[in-house]
Amino acid sequence: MRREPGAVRDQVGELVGLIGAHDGYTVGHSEAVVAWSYAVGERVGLSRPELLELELGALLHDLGKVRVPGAILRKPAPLDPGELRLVRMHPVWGAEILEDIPGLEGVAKIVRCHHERWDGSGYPDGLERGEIPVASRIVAVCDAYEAMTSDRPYRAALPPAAAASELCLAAGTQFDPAVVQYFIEVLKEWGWPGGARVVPAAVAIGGRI
Amino acid sequence: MSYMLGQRTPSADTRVIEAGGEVDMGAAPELRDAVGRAIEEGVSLLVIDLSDARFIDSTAIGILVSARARLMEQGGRLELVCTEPNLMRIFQVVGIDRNLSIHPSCDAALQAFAGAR
Repeated sequence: MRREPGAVRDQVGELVGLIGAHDGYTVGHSEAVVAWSYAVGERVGLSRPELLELELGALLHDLGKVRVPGAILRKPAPLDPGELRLVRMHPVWGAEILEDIPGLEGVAKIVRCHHERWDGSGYPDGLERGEIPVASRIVAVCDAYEAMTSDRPYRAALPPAAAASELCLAAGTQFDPAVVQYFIEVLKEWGWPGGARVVPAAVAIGGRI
Repeated sequence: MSYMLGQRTPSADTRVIEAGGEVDMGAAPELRDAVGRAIEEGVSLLVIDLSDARFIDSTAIGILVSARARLMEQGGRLELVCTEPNLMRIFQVVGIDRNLSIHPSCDAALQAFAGAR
């Protein structure tokens, strides 16, 4: 069942507002992840509907963090095991919220799987390789790059080249090596810094659903 | 098989690994083994000769990044031989061109290292 496009757009807008109210960093971060993800998705050869779903998955990938106390998200130190357990629930919580919105079931799956790892050691389900939706594999790479190149309360940003080299080190273990390859191609084409940020923010996505 | 790997030992503390064709996931296990053996044997200079490489993928780049770090830890050096512009651009993107030199030929790499000693 699909809702009227405007209804879905409104729902997505509300969810983005919810994320922003809880943690401002997450919205800016997610918009950058959308831009990178879309560019990688195009190179992977995703269809137009798959790209739209990817965009939404990238935009809402951290939605479940609204259930994680802000003090934990902003903690300027490594998390203790209990806090880490809570943070690691965010893919499941985000998917739970989205599964209740008709038409966003595929997006919910992308969100649930964005912390799975290529070698099967990720969470929440320990999926591996092709079991992980390709959109989730793309979001995982772009999310990691964007996180590494941003200042966080507990560490300074890495330079873009250092972050790209970290992605390569994890290609074939944490990340789908083909997706990392496409990401490097995007970096090559766009250059840096901030190439991704010139792409219109993903909030406009709703208009294209 | 779309890649070629070879290696030689021009001097006791120097290893040259030649990687040609498409240096991708298919080549990665063999390349990782060859690089790992050279590092474990304590070479001072490891040259990866990519003169005949047409393509390099993320897994192979990861091996080079890791090799560079491991060699630096033990006081050794990794040097690359490459003239293919597309590969050179990838090396810039991932920053592997820092802390090592990229030479136009294997002889140039060996001479530069000998001159620096």
